Amino acid sequence: MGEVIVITSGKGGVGKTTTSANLGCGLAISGKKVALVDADIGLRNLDVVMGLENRIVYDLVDVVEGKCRLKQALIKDKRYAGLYLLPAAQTRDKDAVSPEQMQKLCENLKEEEFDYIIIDCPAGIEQGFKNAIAGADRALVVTTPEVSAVRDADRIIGLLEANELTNPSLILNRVRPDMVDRGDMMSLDDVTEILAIDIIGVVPDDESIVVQTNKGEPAVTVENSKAGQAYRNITQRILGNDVPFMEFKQEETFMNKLKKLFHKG
Amino acid sequence: MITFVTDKDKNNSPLEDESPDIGLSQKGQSVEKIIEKAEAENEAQSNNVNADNTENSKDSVSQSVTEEKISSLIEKEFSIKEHATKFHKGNLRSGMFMEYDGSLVILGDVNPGAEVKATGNILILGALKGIAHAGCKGSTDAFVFALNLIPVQLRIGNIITRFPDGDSKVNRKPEYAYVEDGKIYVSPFE
Repeated sequence: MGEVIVITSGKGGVGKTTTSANLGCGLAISGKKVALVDADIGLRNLDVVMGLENRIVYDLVDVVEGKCRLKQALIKDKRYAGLYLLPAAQTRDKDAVSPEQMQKLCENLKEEEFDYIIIDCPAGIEQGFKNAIAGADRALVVTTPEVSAVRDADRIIGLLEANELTNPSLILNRVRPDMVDRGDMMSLDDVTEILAIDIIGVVPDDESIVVQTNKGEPAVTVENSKAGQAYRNITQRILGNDVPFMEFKQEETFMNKLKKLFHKG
Repeated sequence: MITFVTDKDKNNSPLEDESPDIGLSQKGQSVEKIIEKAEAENEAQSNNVNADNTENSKDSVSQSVTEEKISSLIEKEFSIKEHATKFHKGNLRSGMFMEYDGSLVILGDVNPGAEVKATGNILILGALKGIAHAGCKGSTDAFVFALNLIPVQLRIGNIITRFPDGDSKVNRKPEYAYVEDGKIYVSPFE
């Protein structure tokens, strides 16, 4: 039986869509059948991040309104066999779908024998959020180490708990280990102290995310990307494997060593 | 009846007008901000409330003047009155609001963005990082206790105070906030 996972955050721009795309690809690489659902109706961009924009014919709203069959709207990924995308409509808004319809959609996706159904939730706590979490079995909350994002994540966790999605897991995105070391950025401990939920992964701030996102190929596919490695680890944890957390110690370059020597002198 | 004797606190005299717009210090030595307008407006209201509910606070306005004089001579005691009490287990997260006609006991944290309000006392067996309003019908007898008292804003009766800006992670000891001479003080709970 499939599991419906919603990726949410409250605040915009913390990396929900990037996380959805990477985890979807990661799970597909592991041989699972995965459906990525873009619930951000009116502001869709999961298809762009996945590089599948030009293949969209039908979308989520068409399925819900019965204008097409679910199978017609599901776009097969160009790289991985088990990966499908259900895009959002761009010309409609959040009110085009109701939570009940989303629930039914999730049931239908489970019947299609998907192992994982990943829902990319829109920012905010309004209709779009309510739709996205309606059919979910489990929630992953994405936040960055900024007070505003953590505050919104706290609000979201409260709302998830009120909607019987207890025990959400946390992904701390865009961490800069050098800044944390200097005490200029909230550490993992600072964030978990406020949010008090299980942490499923820490993703470092990485240029390769921007590069790969713009290419339409998620970073999880890049072997030597640190963020990609972090997403691969999260994928393994979703699959139930115990993976140790990454160490973010900066490698000492020749120049840095030279500088240190110079300072000592 | 349980009584707190706070003779130690007498040493912590307020620093007059030193920085009138800062709330109060975490260690209870100093400064406070009274929203005097709000107090004046509420005075009339709280009198009405007290007429209905005389048990809750002693006819504060007329008596408080003489009381203050006495309290400056003798050690002030403030009492914990009997209230109906509501217990809540779990954290209150941003956006959550809890109000109760009586005292509130929270077994968990009150996070930034959350608000708790009670006509009686508020006890938080966790960290208070949001807003707490004890004695919300105007009773300044009420107190707020927390294992880690670092609220955004604290209100007791009709007195509002805010904590000084800056690092809020220093304090790790249980503390309680109470009203004396129309000002909110914070003392360590020992």
